Amino acid sequence: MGPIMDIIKLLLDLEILVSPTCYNRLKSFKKPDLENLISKISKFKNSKKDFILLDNHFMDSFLNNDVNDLIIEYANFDFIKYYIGNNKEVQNQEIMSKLDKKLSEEYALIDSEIKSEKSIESKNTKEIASNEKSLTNLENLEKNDKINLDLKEGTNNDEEKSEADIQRDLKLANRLERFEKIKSIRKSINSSFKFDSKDIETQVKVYEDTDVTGNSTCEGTLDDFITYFRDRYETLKTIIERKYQKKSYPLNKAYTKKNEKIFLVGIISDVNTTKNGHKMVEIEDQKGDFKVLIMKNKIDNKEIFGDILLDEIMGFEGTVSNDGRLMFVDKTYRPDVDVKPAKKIDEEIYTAFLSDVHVGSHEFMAKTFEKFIRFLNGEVGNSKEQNIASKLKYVSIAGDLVDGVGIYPGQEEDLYEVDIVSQYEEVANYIAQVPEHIHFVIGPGNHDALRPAEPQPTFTQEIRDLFPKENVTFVSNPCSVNIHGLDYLLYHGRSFDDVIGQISEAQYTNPCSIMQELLKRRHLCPTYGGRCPIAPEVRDYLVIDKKPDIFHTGHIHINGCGNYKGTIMVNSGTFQEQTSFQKKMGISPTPAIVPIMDMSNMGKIVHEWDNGALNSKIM
Amino acid sequence: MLHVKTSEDMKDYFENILKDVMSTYDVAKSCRSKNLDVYNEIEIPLAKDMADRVEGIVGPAQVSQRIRDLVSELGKEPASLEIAKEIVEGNFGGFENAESPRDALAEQAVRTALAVITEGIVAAPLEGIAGVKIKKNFDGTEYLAIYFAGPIRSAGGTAQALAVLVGDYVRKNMGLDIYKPIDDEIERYVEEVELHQSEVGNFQYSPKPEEIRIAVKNISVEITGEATDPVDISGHRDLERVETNQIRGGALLALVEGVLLKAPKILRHVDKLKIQGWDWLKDLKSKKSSDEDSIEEENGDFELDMTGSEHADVKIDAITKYIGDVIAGRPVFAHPSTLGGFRLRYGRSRNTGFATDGFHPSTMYLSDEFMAIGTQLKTERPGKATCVVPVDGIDAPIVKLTSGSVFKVKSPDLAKKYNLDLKEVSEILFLGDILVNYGDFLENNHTILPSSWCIEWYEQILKSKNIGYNEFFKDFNDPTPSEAVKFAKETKTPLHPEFTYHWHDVSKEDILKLIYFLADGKLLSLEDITSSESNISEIFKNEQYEDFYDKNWNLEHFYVLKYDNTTEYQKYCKRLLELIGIPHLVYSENNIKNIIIFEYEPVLESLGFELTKSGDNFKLVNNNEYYLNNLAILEEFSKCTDFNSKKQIKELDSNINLSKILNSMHLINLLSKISIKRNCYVYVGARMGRPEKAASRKMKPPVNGLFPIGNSGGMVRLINNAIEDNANDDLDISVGTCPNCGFLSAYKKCPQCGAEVNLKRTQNVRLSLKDYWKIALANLSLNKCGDVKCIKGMSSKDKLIEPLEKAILRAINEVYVFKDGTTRFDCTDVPITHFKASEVHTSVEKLKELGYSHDIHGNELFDENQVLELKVQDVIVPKSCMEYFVNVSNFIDDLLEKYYGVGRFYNISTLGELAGQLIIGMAPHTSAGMVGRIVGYSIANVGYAHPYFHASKRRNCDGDEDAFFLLLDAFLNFSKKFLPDKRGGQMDAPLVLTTLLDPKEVDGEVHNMDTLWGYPLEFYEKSIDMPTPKEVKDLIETVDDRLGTEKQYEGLGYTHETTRVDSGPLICSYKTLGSMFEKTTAQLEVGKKIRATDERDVAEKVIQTHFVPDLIGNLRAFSRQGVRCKCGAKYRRMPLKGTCKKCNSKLILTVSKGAVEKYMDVSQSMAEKYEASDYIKQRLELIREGIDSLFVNERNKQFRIDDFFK
Repeated sequence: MGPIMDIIKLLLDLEILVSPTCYNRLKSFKKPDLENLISKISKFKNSKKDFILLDNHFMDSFLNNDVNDLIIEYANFDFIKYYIGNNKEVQNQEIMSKLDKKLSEEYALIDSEIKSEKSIESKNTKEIASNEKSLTNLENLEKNDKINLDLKEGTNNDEEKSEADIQRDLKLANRLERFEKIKSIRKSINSSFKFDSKDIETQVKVYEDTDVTGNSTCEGTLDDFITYFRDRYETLKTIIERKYQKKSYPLNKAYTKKNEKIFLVGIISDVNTTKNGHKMVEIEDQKGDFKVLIMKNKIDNKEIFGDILLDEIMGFEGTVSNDGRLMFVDKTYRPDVDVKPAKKIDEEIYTAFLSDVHVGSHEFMAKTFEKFIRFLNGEVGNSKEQNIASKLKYVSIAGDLVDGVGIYPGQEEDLYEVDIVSQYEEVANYIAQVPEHIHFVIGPGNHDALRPAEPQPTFTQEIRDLFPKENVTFVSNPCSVNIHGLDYLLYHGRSFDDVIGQISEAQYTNPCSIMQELLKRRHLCPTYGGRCPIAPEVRDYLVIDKKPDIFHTGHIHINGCGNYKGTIMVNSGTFQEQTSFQKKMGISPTPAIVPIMDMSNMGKIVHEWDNGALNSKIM
Repeated sequence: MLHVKTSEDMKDYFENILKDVMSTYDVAKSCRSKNLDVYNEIEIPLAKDMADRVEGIVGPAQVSQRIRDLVSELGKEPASLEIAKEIVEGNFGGFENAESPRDALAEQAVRTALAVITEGIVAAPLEGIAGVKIKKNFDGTEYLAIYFAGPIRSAGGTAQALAVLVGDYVRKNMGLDIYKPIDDEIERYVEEVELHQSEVGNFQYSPKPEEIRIAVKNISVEITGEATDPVDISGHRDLERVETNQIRGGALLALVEGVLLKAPKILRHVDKLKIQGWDWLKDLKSKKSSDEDSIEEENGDFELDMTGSEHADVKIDAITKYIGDVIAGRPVFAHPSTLGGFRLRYGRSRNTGFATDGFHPSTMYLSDEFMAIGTQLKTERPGKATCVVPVDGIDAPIVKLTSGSVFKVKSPDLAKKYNLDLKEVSEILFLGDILVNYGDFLENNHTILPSSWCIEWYEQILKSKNIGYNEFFKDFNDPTPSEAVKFAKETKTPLHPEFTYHWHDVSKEDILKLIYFLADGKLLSLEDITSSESNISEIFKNEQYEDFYDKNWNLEHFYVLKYDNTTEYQKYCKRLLELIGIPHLVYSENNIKNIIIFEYEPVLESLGFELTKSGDNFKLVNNNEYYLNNLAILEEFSKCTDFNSKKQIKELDSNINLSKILNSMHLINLLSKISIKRNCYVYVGARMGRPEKAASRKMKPPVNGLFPIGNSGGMVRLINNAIEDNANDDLDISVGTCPNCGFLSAYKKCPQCGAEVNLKRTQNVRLSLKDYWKIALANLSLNKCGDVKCIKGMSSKDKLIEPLEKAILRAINEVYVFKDGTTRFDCTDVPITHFKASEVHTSVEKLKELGYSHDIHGNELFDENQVLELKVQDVIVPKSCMEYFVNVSNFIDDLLEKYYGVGRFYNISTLGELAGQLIIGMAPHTSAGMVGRIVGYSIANVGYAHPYFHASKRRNCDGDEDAFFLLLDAFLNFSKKFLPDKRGGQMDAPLVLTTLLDPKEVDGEVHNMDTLWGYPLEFYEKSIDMPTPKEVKDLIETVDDRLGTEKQYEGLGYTHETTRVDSGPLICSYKTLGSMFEKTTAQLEVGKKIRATDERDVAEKVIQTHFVPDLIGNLRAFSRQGVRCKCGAKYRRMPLKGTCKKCNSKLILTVSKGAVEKYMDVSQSMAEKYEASDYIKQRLELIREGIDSLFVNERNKQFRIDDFFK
């Protein structure tokens, strides 16, 4: 055991914890320096009883300043706030318990350091640690008894266990250091940058009826499913009827209209291609079902749609056969969005589009993400960047803030942070480093800690509380939000996986090719029963009720922008490098590209923050 | 004339069987010719060998003789290619009537060749190949495409690969070009393999994309196939030459588990057969093997530490694969290579071998009956799985009781008493032996591991040195402590294994501590014990003493130590005794606790004590230098009294100076004057696989006959209900109008007037069920009949139906029918080569009748406990099977008498009478049955049969199960016309029947089974050097060495005796425990009790690998579920109507809330109780939130809270 151990113990006696970095620094200290430092610290502690974590910052302070100055400087300093963050209103007791938790974590950390230190010198000493633990945990006495009595046969086991302990503690240490680093981003940037958008008032209004949060009525009953699909059908039927000014004929009576021309609206139950290439489509309404036949030549001539998806709602016009068993289709109708020029506002304000940050994954690009946070703080290269950073007011995030836990089997191997709350704490730390005048709108994705079935309500209170209060709005997935006069539709994009398999035009490499299929059908997940799970709510939140000005999605980790009939489509990319799974599947993501749009000039130019550089493209 | 080599006795045996088969055949033939069935002939061709089977299963006609000639001339694989060539050349017909004769020729050739390769047993040639087509390359040339289907799996990897090779050979012989894939097609394979692994399931081997590309580019035929799983691929869709956009499971199997995985084997064949165009495999192989080498290095298989003496530790790395996932309710018995696990014992008992291992029956009771006869275990080594059978000729487990006493539990009754009745077993310190035969090491190509020290080895040493021992010991197998020590001293041989303890399980320092501890003991004479000052005067009344020690040792002294379990030092040393496995009794009297060691002589001798007698007292001295040198430290150690001193103990350890001594074995041998062998080098880990099975085969729902009634009988499919309600339903079956009386007949003979009717498949037919019912009852001269369960509809091609009479008679006799018309009984396969009359409940007289005239020693059979060698086609069925077969025989007799109008055949009323009757044994995934003969029944719930018999069905005995059915039942009631018209429909149906068992034509795995009466000394000695099994092959005789001689059928040996093959628990606890909660609780309780098991790890694994995937899977399934109706209709999505589109009734969810939540509470409480990691706890919490979010109405919730505040 080296002298360093004595110092750690001494510091522990003084109720001072040492961060891993400092610990490493301490190791290289000479004896007089150490003594000097310790005397300063103990003096400081004598005058201020607060608990102190000796991190880099404090250590430097102690080394470089006179201790009396420090005492004065920190006389009114709120250490608890410094360590725990923003929860000022939280009751005292809670602070204490949090502090206790932190403390015990810290102790565990130091403990492990001591242990790992020892393990180099002598493996046997590990026993001490486990003994100490067992003393504190009387409930486990019996079990420990068994372990400790196992002696030599147990040593293998014990070694493994304490190695696991060490691993866990190292992770804890790493986490603290990561957080520390993130928390210092803002401080390290020149604060003289002028933000034009600082003076612009934030205008964010969530369309409550599109947000399922707190409104989930689903109980998983049979009736829930009936109500859900009926709502989907009714809403979209109404849209179709209104759009084309036609009234649909009830399906159960269609057979009576032999040889007559009628208009039907139905939900697709089945699509079969006949031997000759015609399409036999089974449709359904609340009363009955009917078959409609689409001739091959009409599909080939693009007269009518051939790309019919199961469970989408469509209108069909045609003549009923003379036996009344089916209808020959002349024309098909989709709810589709109306053609209008892209909407814009007067002020030059910018929105950045983010998704799929995947904090916690080994592939998360922490350095590049930090660069982006720095950009938001005004660390810019040229005048164009300066202009945009200065006028950037909103950040829209379409899900997958973190990599989550338990999303797929064996995920823990791919995570550097296996604690879900800490994953969110880390993102929250990043967001806290963004100037307060920039407003975030955040919806969840399939990796987030929520029910996987869509619509997904927004994050739990526990997670929301980790984030800054003033400049973050949490929404569900999907959700419509009016941001500064423009309607944003945020949807993570889980259903893309299903759409791609069914429509040949829809390609992973071109996200807009998928997004426009959803807009055409005015539904975010047209086909039921695929990879995208659905919660049967009383309303179908996945219907695109109102035409959005901006349709923002993510999920597939590939950037893309487009304009469909005046709706600006943005699929933001990711901050996760290609995963081994994507590599196997041959998917090449486009990480670290953030589309940024001028809200006064929608649909013309898209700026892309691309790994630190800013490029502009004509859409 | 038989074509196999046999003795005269065996020849009689086989001829008798053939004779019986033929007479049974004749009975059935006359019945079938009455045209009362869907087909008027017996539909199971008899085959005497492989060639017959090939012709019977895939054809073409007349091919068998040519196959026979070619195989004997060239060997199996070359013959398969040659026969393919001859078929292509048109030697067996040109298929002129086929749609495309050339395709048909190629297809026939591939099928026949594959059938030859797979011995004409498995269904792969029939079902695994969907078709063979000649297709066009984009440059206009022609190539061959083989369409694989899912059941190709049954062929096994090598045969799958060879099928491709055959395809190539056929291609060449037809003058076709090679397959030239385009890039999209190549990439399609890469994508598909990936998708299969993520969506469907993993292959045995996970190839790299580059390997797949190389293979597809180079394989000269197209490996394609039909869609097997409804999983759509995303890219590479709609390819011109690939018919489906879904996963082609069969093709991927052939490519990955066939060509890629078995590359080395194909290469060997390619070289041998001199086939061109497969050189690319060499590159692939060398690439792969270098990868694999590196993997193996990582695993660091074995490492021999050569630095020390003969006592050096041998490092054998644990294999953790078997414990990769742990299933809820199925315990882990031992973690990988963990101390206290199963001790590896070499040898074979009469009921082990062929992937079945022996366990001590006491161990089976100690496992809380989770190990029953036939329970499958997943094992660490040598193979992946095994089956539990009882063998009491091996080392017994050692347990600690709640009293603190430690015993070796040799008697299963005591194991039962203390563990199950008294529940006094607090820890299982050692699980006892696992008896593994050399053949399983050979089969798995697993390095031979050092043998544990066992009595066989000791015996061989004594024999080799010409030392007589039988005179010395009263019973060499059960010596007394003093005999053992005395003998070892006198003969200068190692100490007897019975008293050789697990010294190596503790450290060398611990050995010194133990000496110090034991030095305090006193040797008390019987006089001392009973004297008035004695603290153990009442010991002879102690129940545990009586149970475990009142045996015939004639001990005159007990070694007694005072024991104070409040001091750390004493506890520590007592624990040492436990770990080393030294039996001792903890006994207290007058509030004084004592540790009494009965086997003190070997213990003290091993530790270097000298016992001298001075007057009436014994004096114990240990003048060993290592001990004396460290005495001061040991004394300090003995002062460790409280809990905190553990630290001190560790520190003392480092002060003890034993630097020159390697390990505890080394130290023991320096201390002791006699040589002490290492008890055990490696412990084997195991967990429970699946429970044993013995149950009649029932379809779901169970039915009595293949007579369709649609929905008219309700969900329970009772025709009685239909008759009562006068209901009938639209059926899709073959019917015809009787030309004579006009009755709508579904039989070939009009039920009303008996005229011949031509049947044609027709949809939406309604049969007059009432008429059929009445006529059937009348035919059987019955007035009424109880419940008869029928089927909903036929799934066969022609949809011909079985006469209702058969269903009625089955119902009366309480038997059920399988889809092919047979009545079956399933049970776990377990091997047996020798049996006793008492075990099979057949009288000595009857056995003599059946040809068992002499026991294995050549003595005439007179007693029911003589050991007899089982004849290869004889089977011992479970008792429940025998009971079922009595019913089946009654059904058949009724059928013969009442339906066919001939005499009864079986005339059986008691179980014993079935002995001697013929059965068919048949495994799933195969299409050939094997004739067997019932020799008796066992109370164990397994199918005991000769290993050859199991091998003839293509089964080994690692926990697989398959079916028995009566021979006459199959002849009478089986029809191909009933088989489902879908892929795999012809599997598990007796398309051909082998009548004579030729060991050469059974699964080659059984050829590795050893047949010795004892392993030679050299084997044990060489095992220490850990040779490959092939290196010691010449020391051990196996079946392979006997093939082609008379010895192939008789004189097989075994090394370890089993008192009874039916001792031990008969039913696995997994089956008797109710809910999953009970099962998992029991599973963890067992884990807690076993020293070699870490129950926390078990809990985590159960949650991680079983509960969480189930929860997540069901949660996901819930949100994309379909609905169904009680009428049988299914909907992918809830219809808007909200009710069934067909019958308008209320629909039912396919995934209920209950199914989703099933494991939620169990897993969370388990995670808490066993302190699972935070990650697991968090994951469960998230799932819980996900479930609540789906099933709890938030509005209601809020409303309630609001209410509260009002």
